[in-house]
Amino acid sequence: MDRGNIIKQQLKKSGGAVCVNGGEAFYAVVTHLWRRKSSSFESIATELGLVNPKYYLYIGPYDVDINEFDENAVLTFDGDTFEFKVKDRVAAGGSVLYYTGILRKTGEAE
Amino acid sequence: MTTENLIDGIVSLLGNALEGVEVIRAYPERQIQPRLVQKTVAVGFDGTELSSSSLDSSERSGEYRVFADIFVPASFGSGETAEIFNRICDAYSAFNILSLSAERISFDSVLSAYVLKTSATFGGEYEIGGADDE
Repeated sequence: MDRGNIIKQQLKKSGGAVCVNGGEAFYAVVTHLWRRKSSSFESIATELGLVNPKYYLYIGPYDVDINEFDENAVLTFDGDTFEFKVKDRVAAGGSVLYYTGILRKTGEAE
Repeated sequence: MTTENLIDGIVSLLGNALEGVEVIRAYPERQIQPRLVQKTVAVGFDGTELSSSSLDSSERSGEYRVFADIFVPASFGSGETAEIFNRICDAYSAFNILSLSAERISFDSVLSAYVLKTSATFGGEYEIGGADDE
């Protein structure tokens, strides 16, 4: 089994089911990206109300190329919705191992 | 007229004039989703220059400014801000309006929205203070 597949199997064990734009579900790790600045924990007062932007780390399988999703792509995980802020491919030895990225939460489950 | 009922009046006026746009008083005490989904106008008091009508009167006359900042979700495109500003100008035209101003369109990355900050100056009688008790 190649390394990309091994990582995919691990993601199945350690990750959760996600889907993009309502498509077929796959397994990925989505974890909160805690930042060191304490201000990241505070809401920002805007003219429209208080906003608390939250960022997450995404690690997904080699066979779901997140670079193919456009900027309006919506990832759903556990009822919450996210948008991709950064997308990257991790490869070694000429083959893709996994995809990683930074997500921003755009909506919370009711 | 006082600050409170001035802002309430503008919110009500624009709420009726801007179909499909939420009109609110600026800086409400509420938590919102991190990505704006609805076109919104936030109204607030921007300043005033007044003088006494007479020495024994609490009423003042002069100018007062109100801001109406336009927020449009990125998916609608920046052009929608100018469209909403046109409709605000139409709504204000029934009043004694002295000047209107708008800044350049900017992008708010926290709300993922285009922003057009606008301000209007009205002339008339005015009473400094909160809610009108009369």
